Amino acid sequence: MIPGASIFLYLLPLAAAPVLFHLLMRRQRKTVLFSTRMFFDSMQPRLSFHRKFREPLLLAARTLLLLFLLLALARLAIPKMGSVLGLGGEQAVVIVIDNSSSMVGSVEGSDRTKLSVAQEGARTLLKNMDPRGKAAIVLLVPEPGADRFGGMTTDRDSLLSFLQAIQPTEATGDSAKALLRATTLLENANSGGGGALHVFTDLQEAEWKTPVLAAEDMPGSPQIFVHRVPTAESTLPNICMLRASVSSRRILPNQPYALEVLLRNDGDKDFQVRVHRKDSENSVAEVTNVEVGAGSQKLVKLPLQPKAPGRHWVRVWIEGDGFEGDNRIFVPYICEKKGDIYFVGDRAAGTFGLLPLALSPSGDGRYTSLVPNFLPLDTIKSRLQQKTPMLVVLTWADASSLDEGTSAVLDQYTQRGGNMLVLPAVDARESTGQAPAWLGAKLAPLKAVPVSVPLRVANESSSFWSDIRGLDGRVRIGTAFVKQYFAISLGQDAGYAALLGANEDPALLAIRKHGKGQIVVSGIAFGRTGAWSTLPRQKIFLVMAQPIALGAVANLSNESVSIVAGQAPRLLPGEGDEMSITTLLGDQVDWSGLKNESPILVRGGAYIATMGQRETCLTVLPSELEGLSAFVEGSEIGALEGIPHGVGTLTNEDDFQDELEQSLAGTGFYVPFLLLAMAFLMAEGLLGAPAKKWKDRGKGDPDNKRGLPSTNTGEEII
Amino acid sequence: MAEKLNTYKYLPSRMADHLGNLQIGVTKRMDVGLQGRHQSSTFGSSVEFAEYREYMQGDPIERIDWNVYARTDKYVIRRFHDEVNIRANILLDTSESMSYKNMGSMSKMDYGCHLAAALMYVMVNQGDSTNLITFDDDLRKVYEPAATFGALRPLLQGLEEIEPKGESDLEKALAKATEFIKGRSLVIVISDMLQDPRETLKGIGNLCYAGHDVTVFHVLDPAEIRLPQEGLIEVEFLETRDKMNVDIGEFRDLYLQRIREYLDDVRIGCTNEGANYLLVDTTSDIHDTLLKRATS
Repeated sequence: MIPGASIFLYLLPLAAAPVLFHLLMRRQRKTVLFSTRMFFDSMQPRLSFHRKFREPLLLAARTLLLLFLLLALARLAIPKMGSVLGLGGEQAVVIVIDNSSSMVGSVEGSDRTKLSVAQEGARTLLKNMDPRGKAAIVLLVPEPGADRFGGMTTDRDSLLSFLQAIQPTEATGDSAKALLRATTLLENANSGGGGALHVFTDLQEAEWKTPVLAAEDMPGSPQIFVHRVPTAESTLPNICMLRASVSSRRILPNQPYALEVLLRNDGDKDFQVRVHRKDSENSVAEVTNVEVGAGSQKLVKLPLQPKAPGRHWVRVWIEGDGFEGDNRIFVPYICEKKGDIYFVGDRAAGTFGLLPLALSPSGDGRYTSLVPNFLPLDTIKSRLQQKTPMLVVLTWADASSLDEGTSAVLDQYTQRGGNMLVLPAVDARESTGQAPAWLGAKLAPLKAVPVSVPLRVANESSSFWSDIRGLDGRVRIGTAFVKQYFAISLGQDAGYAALLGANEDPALLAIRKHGKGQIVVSGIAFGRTGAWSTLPRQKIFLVMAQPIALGAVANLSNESVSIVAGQAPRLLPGEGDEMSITTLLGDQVDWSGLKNESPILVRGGAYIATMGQRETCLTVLPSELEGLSAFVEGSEIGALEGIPHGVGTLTNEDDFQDELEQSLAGTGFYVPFLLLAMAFLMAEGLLGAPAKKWKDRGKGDPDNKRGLPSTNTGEEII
Repeated sequence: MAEKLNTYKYLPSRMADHLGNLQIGVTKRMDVGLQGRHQSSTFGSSVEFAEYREYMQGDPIERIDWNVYARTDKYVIRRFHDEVNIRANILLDTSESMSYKNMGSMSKMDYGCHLAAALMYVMVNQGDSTNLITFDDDLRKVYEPAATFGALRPLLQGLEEIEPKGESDLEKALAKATEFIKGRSLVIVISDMLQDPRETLKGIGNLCYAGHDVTVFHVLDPAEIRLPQEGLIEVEFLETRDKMNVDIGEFRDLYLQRIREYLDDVRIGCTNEGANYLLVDTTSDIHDTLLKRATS
């Protein structure tokens, strides 16, 4: 307010003067005598509705005219808001930038991303700060690289350069943690002049709807301003990639595997997207069109056949949907070298029937990377101590005749991750003696049926069947029959799962996890004559042989772990406290240190996490929440329930700059009040002068046009 | 004479002096009366030739036109119009509405009285006789005819005693006047005629059909014609004394249109009936008003 102008506030009662005059004039309304009412009666000149309210409207217009004129002259103004916004003096400002995946979407009315608008808004805010004021930037999804700006600073250049470097993540932010970090920074800034918290976000409900903080949890009581970056509405539904993984078995060169990709359609109509796959051994991407039903999930299996051992990655991404933040996944896997299979016995004796051929048709691992070796029982101990094979196959007879040392070695071998198959010899006719206790199974007497009976699949959900299981969840092994077999008596505590049964005998083939390895026991031999079963002569037998050799339930199968962006890989299995992370593809994070201090991975990537001797493939998945199109509307933000805050809309930095300038300069009401006064002056003029009168005046000299008769003097009367 | 007249309210000496040269005639032939300056409907001894007629037994021999006899060998006589003096019957409206005064210097009643006095003076001054009849919704007072200035005095004094009151009914009052006035004469109606024109014209028509030479002085206050008031006013009507709130600004255009229609109706109606119609407002000079009548 201009000094001296306040006197006009004392004159405000003058605005009531029209009311006073009105009352006085009302008393003095004159009565006019007239000679006749014959013209009045015929025309019914009653007061119109407008005319009845004309005087009150005139009175109101005149009163408001005076009122706004006096207010304009009083030079009223809203004081500068800079101190409230934390932009004045030595005040502090903490800027929270939403760098979650949803910010890659377009801002309403523009092609720009929401993150870029938020960045420019924050830049504008920083530029309008007093140079003495401290500021800090807090990311909604914390990034390891942001640590160096963890405190308040007056160095605007570094803040601006950091702001420029912010990249969108693929994670969902934690609004509570971000606000706590921000308010703690403000509290610790001890600026004396107070401070403010500015949040630039799209207010996605996944992050901001649920109440997470109470007012008493917030250090201090900062002014909180939320700058909402409005989201452009997408006409296309979002297809979210929920998961992508390769086979859980050991992966060997030249073996066919399936890369499973799980998609979810968040929209309300069926939608087709293009699924691209590219791996480390093929530079050309393969494209598959996939249609996903509305609101449902779809599992897509893509072929994968590595050629060389080593660390590999597969990049899978989709195109054509409405949101890009959850459209890619990087999958790492380790392809091992050729693996040995130790058959305990003589090749020439045909003890194992068609099994060696099923595991390695060429016998040298050319097609399956599995190399069969036939060893005498007495050498198995020394060979296992020299080299760890993929699989050890021995007969029930040999298993029953193991010496204590060999039994212990085999036990340790499987405990550490080896696979073992125990089966009857093709020529076996009687059940054997006592098998080692750690085997957890023993054979019943041989059972021969006069007519072959079909084999039936048990435990269809077992991962053993994962390569055979159809999309409907059923496992079909064709028409395989059995004529003679040893029923297997499975130990109750051994943890076996029957895989094949016949007649009333539930377990002719069973699998169990033993330590980190697996043990498969069979009650039927795999001879080529069909005296035992027709299963070995069927194609399905080739498929069944693979999980027996490569592991279906073993821990030491291809170890891969998935985490969602925004999490730290602190729960990975491994020995010791040290951990190192190596990037194969995606967001570059090469780190080593204590496992408990491992960094939060905020973007998708394919990593190898090494702990001790153990390597784990680590996939960072995009957050499945970020593609959801629900945003907090209005000014009530659930995450800030009970905490005073203001909400504004930020669509471009120029408007924001104008708003800040107005806030910093204060808002004067001189012009608005003056305009209002002029408006009411015009209204008073229009009401005070009837429209017809104006019309008449506009006609110039209408008297001569009325055709009135002349008086005796020859003059027209009017 | 001027000094005597100076004592009358409605005929001051200055006005009488101005009226001395005025003469008011008639367009219709009047009935026989005293010898005068106006044509009669009968044949007489004036100098104005009327027609030839074949001589009939009993006609005076001195009226035979011997020149015609010499040319045609027929006895014909020449006939001339008779010239008589006339009686002017002045019908003055004294209803309440005549007391209205707004823009003029006098009320319609005063103006009407001035006009009646002047007319009576002119008529007597030119040798005719006159009388005065006041009316509202009926004939109120009929004065004795006057043919001399001395006889005019009661009429002039009577004008000063008029007090406007009552509602007017021209149809009824003029019908009564038609019955009352015998023969053919000059009838001058002075009124504001503020009633339905159809009824007014019936009264005028009755007078015209009776053979009178009718002149209508339609006296209005300029305010009645122009409606000069502004804004929201309360109007009180003279004849009924009831009131009405009116926004003149919104009402004026319609009012002016109506009064224009009304005046047209009256003017055209009077002309059609054969009456001489003159619209006068109360600001008009009396002499000018009479001059217009005299020259019409």
